[in-house]
Amino acid sequence: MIELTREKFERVGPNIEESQAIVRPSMTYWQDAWRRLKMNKVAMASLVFLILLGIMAIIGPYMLPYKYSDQNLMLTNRPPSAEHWFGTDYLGRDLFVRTWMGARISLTIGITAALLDGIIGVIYGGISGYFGGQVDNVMMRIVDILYGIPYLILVILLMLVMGPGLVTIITAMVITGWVGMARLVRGQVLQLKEQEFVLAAKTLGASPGRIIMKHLIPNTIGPIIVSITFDVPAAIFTEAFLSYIGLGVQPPLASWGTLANDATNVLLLYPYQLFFPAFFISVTMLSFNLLGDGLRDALDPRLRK
Amino acid sequence: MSSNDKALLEVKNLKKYFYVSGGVLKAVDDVSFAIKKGQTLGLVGESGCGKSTTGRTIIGLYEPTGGEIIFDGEKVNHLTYDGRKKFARRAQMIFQDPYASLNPRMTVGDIIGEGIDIHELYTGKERMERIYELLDMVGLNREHANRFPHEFSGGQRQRIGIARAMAIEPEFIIADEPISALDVSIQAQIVNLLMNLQQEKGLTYLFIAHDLSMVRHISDNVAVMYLGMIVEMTNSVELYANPLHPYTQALLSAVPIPDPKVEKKRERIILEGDVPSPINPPSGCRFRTRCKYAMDICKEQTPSLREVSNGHFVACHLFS
Repeated sequence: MIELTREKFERVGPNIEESQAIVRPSMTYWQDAWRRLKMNKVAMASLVFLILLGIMAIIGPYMLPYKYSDQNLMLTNRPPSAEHWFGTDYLGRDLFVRTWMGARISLTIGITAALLDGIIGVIYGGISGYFGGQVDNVMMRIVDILYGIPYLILVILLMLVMGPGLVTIITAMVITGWVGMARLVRGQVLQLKEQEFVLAAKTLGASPGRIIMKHLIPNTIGPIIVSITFDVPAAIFTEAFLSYIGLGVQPPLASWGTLANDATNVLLLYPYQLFFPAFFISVTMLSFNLLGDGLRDALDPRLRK
Repeated sequence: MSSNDKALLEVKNLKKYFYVSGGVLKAVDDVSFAIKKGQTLGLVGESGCGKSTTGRTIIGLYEPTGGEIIFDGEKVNHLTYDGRKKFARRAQMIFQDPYASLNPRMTVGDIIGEGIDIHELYTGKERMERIYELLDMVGLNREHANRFPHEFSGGQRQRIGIARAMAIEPEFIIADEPISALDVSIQAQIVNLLMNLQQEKGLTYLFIAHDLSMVRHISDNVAVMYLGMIVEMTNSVELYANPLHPYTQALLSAVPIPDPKVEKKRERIILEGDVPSPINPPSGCRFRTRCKYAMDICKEQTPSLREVSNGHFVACHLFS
C-alpha cells in the first residue's frame, strides 16, 4: 500500500484564466457560413456548375473558329459534328458559339438586373424602415403602386420608348423588380432597429449613418444575398420569356431565349436544336435556386452549429 | 429629495405617452425624482409599470411627452444631434437582455470600442490598450477581444455590455434590469461588479429592477412605481423597515425571508386582480382597484407624492 502523506499533495485551486478560456477557434461570420455551405453537397455542385458556366460564357465563343453572327448558307440546320459541336441553325450559324454567346447575354442580364434590384431595394427599404412612421408610410405606398403595374405592359411601353435591346430589358426588369427587395429589407430593418444593440449604439451617440452601415445592413446581409441569388434565375427566365415572344434581344445577337425561339420553328425537323438552350436555361435556374437554398441555410445565424 | 446637496440628475414631472390604436398609453405619468452624485436610486415595480420607459426617456431614446430632465444643471430633453452626443459621453445605459444587446456581427473588441470610435477618443494602439484595460476591469480576458458575442455566456455578455458603457467614462449609468436575465449565482457577481465600479469611479446609478432584495443591496434610495407613477420613495433602509403604501407592503411581502421559522408565521399580502391596462387606467388613485383600504376619495382624486416623515414620500390618501 502506498502511503499518502500531506507532502505528496499540492493545492491547485481553480484556474480562473483557464476556466474563462474559450476552446473553439474564433470564426468570423463569413468563415462560419462558408464552412456550412461546404457541407451542403447539392449547393456546392450548383456552385461548381455556375462557375464552369461563367468560364464557358467567357471563353466558349472563342473555342471554335466562327463568330456568333457568321452565316454559312451552304451548311444550314446541320446536326452536331466535329466542325459544329452543337450543329448549325437555319442560317448556318454555329450553335455552340451562339449558345455560349447566349449564356453571356443571359447571365449578364440576370446578374445585372439582380444586383441593381438589390442596390436600389436595400437603400430604399433601409431608409423606409429606419425612419419609419410617415416616411415609411409614403415610401411603401409608392412600392404598392409599382407592384400593381402589369409587367408586360410596362415592357412593351419601354420597348416603344427606348427601342429593343439589352438596356431596355434590364431597365424594365429593374423598374418593377426592386420592390421585393425593398420590402424584405424594410421588414428586417423595422425588426432590427428596436433591438437592444441598436439602442445601445444610439445611447453611445452613433449617427443614423453609422447605425445603418455598422448595425442594420450587416445583420440583414444574409437574407439580401439569398434574395439576390433567387432574383438572378428569375431575371434570366424573364429575359428568356421576353426573347421567346420576340421582345428581347434582337438578332444577330443571341440569348438562350432567342435560341429557343429559333429552334421551335424547326422543332419537328431538328428537335435537338431546342435541346441545348432549353437544357442550359433549366440547369442554370435549378443551380441558382439550389445554391440560394444552400446559402439561406448557411447564412442564417439561427442554424449556427 | 429634501437634502440640500446638489442633484446630478433631476427629473421633473416626466411624462411619456404612446399613441396607440385604442387610446393613449400613459407609460410614464408625472414622475419626479432626483439622484445625488455618487448615489444609487433603485426603481422597482412589476412588469409594464413604466420603469424601463422612464430609463429610456431619460437617456433620450424616447422623446418625453412632457416634463423636464435636468442633468448637472442642464436641460437634456429635446436635444439636437450634437447635444445628444455630448450628453452621451456623460450618461450611459446597461441593457436588460445580454443576448440582444450585443451586435452578433461585431467582435467584442469592436463592440467595446464603439463608444471610443464614435467620440474619437483613441485610435490605433491606444484604442486596443484601452479595450484591454476595460476587459480587465470587468473581469474578462484580453484574448476575448477578437471573439464574437455568441461565444460567451449570459454573465460574460453582460460584462461586455458594462465594458461598452464604461468605455467613454460616463458619470451616470442607467442599469435597465441588468440582472433579471441572468442566473442567481451570476446576478450577485454582476451586482458586485457594478458596486465596485461605483466606488472606484464615483458613478451615479439609476438601477431599474423588479427584484427587491437586489435593489436593497445596491440602492441608497428606492422608488416604487405602479402604472406609470411613483407611489412611494425613500431611502432603502426606511422602505424595507417601514413600508407605508399598500402596494409597497404587498410587494415586500412577496420577498421570501431566508428563515423557515419566520417564513412559516409570515402572512403574505396577496393582491387581487390584475394590473389594469395603462391605456385606460382607473380614475383617481391607480391602485384603488386592488387596494383593500380603498375609500371614496381614492376614486375622485389622484393622491400626490407627499413627504410624511423625513425623506419618506408616499402617494396615498391614507396619509394625507
